[in-house]
Amino acid sequence: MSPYTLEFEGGSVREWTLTETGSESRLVEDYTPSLFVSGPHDALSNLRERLEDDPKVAATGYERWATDLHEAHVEERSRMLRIDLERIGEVRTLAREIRGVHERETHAPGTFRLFDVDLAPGFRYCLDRGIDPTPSRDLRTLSISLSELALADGDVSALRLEGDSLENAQDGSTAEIDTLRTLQRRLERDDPDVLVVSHARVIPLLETRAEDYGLETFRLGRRPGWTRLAGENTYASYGQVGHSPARYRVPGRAIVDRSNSFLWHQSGLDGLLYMIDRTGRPLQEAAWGSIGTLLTARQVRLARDRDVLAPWNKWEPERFTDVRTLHAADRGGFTFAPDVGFHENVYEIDFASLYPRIICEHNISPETVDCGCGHGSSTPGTTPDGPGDGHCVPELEYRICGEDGFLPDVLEPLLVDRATRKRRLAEDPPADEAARLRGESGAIKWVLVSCFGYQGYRNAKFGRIECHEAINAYAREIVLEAKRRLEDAGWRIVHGIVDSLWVTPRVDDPTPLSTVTADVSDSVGIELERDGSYEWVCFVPRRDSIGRASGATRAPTTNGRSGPGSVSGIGSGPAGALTKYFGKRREGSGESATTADAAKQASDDDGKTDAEAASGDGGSYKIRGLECRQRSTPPFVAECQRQFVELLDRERKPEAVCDVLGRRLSELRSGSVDPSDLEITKRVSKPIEAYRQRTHTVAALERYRSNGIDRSPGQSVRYVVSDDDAAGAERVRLSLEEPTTYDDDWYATALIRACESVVSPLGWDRGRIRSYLRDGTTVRLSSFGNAPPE
Amino acid sequence: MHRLEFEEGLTLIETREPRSPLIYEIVCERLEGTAEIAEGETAYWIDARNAAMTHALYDCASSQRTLSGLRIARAFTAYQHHSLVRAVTRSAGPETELIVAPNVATLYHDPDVPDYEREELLASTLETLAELGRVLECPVVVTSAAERRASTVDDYAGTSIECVRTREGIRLVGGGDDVVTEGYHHGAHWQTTIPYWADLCGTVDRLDPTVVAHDRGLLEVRS
Repeated sequence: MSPYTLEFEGGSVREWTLTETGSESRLVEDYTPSLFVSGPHDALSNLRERLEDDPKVAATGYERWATDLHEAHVEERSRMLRIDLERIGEVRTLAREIRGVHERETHAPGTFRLFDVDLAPGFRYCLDRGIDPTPSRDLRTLSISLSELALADGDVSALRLEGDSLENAQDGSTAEIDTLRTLQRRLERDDPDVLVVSHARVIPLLETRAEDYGLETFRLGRRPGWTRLAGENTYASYGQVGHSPARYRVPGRAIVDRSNSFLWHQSGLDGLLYMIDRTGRPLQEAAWGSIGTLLTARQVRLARDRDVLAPWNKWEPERFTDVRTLHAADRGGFTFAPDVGFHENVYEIDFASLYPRIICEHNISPETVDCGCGHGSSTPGTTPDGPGDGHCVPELEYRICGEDGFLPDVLEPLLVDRATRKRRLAEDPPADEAARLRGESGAIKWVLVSCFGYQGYRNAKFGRIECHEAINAYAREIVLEAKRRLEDAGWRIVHGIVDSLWVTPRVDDPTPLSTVTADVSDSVGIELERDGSYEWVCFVPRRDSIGRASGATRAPTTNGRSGPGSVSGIGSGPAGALTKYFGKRREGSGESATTADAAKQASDDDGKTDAEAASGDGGSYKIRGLECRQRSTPPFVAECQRQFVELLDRERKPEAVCDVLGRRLSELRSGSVDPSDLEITKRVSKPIEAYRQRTHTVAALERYRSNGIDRSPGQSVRYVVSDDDAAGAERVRLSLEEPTTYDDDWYATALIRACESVVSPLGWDRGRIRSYLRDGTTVRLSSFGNAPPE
Repeated sequence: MHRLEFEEGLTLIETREPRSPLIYEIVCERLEGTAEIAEGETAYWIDARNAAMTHALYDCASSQRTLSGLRIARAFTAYQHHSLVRAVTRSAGPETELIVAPNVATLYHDPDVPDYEREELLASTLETLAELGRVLECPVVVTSAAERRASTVDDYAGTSIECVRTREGIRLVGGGDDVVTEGYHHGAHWQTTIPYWADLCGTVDRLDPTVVAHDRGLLEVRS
């Protein structure tokens, strides 16, 4: 049996292993984690001497390891200095000293390259000791929650266990003591393996409060005590600001912080368990890991199998290339500009997991691109002759070696797992199995989605920009090949982005789509699947392009043009927004509802946000990029917008949509909308002092502050706009202040904008909506009189 | 021929934006004609923040051949940047005509570089670049779009030039106390050149440089 959670105390490790009835622990005293240094021989021996008297260092020695994947690929190894440390918590300290003190005093910057520095302790321990931290039996979890306001007030009595509040007869300290005792009994009775907390800060709050009240036997862990592992921190990643809260541990129980667990949020315990198995990160570390962190962990583990250590900083640059190659390489994925307007009879087809499949199909990996290893790579322009032979990337002069690539090793099992789960889901398994499969499938999906971008990510430990470019080059070739074959078969592409294409019949009797997609799949080696079938789809113009085609023939006709294709969007219309569209799924018609479609739907829907799930997206409409899909949009506006879409489907006239808009506006103006339906959620991007503009977010932050709550960049604020014209903090009311009024003008503008998104594909803009609402009473009545043809 | 001439050694141009069109002009000017006389790699571009936009280079070069000797590599971290500078020391030689490093200091100020390492790593990069210019006797042109960083770079540069926007276009002004207008840049066209300017026009406060340049037949407009 291997441990499922670990604690590091000074120089020792406590392993917690699950037993049938609970968990038992074992103290390991002989673990000395190592970091590695590469550099010139004399510099390394000099460093070794300097470290002799360092009390942090247990031992040093020389070992042969590969400094990168390429070195391993060409079967070379470098002599490295291994430094064993007494305590795991001092790895980074020593690493900083090597660079900041030892290197600085004696050598040029960049003389030493450090490896195996920034690994999470539990992950490092499992990696070093060959431990699989996957729990050996079903886990018992206990959910402990406290609202944000209660947390800020330090009010323990508001605690909820498994979502239920505790019935406390008393107030104040008596209630708090009662709550802590109830929690204590619950912990003793259920003996949970995992504490799922609303916020990590609940841990120190409960422990210190219990101490304040002299409850000596109170403890959240399986032994007394708690530890803060890391302080909170704000970071920037992919241009977005994020916030990671402080992390804590309690002995013998893993903690999942719901406010800081992407995996838990997206795919629950099942997804988490799957990722523990695939990455080797123990539960608590897997829970707080981002997708990038998890992918890195899997890579670090597999690289270790190849004798490759994890570099600390990214020193390895791309090679110098000529302008022509760079020009060819430096292009993104292929997009076909959307044909703005209302299109009938549209099919969405896509290449399942395009990027990871390209990586596996073509053996793209940091060490296989232009490796020059002499075997397994052929000369430019030649085609592969068989397994083991290399090939040349289309348009680029990169040669790819045919030898067993690292990245395909990382991804192939994930692709297989996902395909297996999708197939099983299509067989309509029992509900609990289906839920598990969806959780796992969702978790895999996120890793697969990010693996491509990660290759180009600046700090990816095993990323290489040339891989990123090679993948893109193949993707372009594949999509263009699909386009050619589809058009030859009588189809027209109305929109395409990276791995998805939207097509509509170009001629009266096109080759059946399933025949064409099978043909394309065969030819490119990656399956092109039918993803959806739509009665109609609207592609929305970009905001700056709305209304440019007002009055053009963009209105849908429901009677006249019954032929194939759509009624609009030819020629130089307005520019379409790439990811803004909505459409009505065709139901139960002929070939549409295949099991593959259903399974894809089932697994795809899993990865979506709550807002999407609430939008009834699994139903008959697919909506992307519109306001109702954005987290910041108030529920009332989102609900109205979905109603506009339904109206457009039923009436096929912008006027009918505007009539409903008119009614919803009156509702808003009369003050009868529940303010909680007007709540806006925004992510804070910087500290309050750094905002130059007096935005709603700033006003909200000020109010949070006066309520004693700190909001850091990366966290969210929730508020209702109470008076947009007021000054400062008066403009908004926080949701936790339970507002009773709202600024109807401000919300009216938001509502009109949401309506504009829906009618803009038909050539209507805000101005036309407003003038219709002002003058269109008669028209409005008559439009109700005309029953639309169904 | 009125060319934008740079002296050998490190020259800093303080640009107004990270993707300044100036750098394309400089590279193309310098490489114009070299393809005919030299084979192989004659210029290195150590890129940061994706300043190397190939279409802009193609737009600027009179023919694709002009760029045939140019080699570009992009850094995404300070560590990669420093590695690239070192890589150039290994591959550059007497045939090297030019080395450019746009946004030379910017990656060193990213949050992934700890404070204790930042200055020395950047200093080492700049020193290496300056040394390359001296040893190879070729110009090494670096740019910086942020003032506070430019001052560090300035310590290593033999020459500093600032881009100033005027009604005449972008004016290049030499650093130091005696400010000299050294050229005008109108979109894709150079109006005049640094050495001629310095020799013939004197300082801006005495003469209107454009008028003088025009009078002396120095205005050159390429398309």
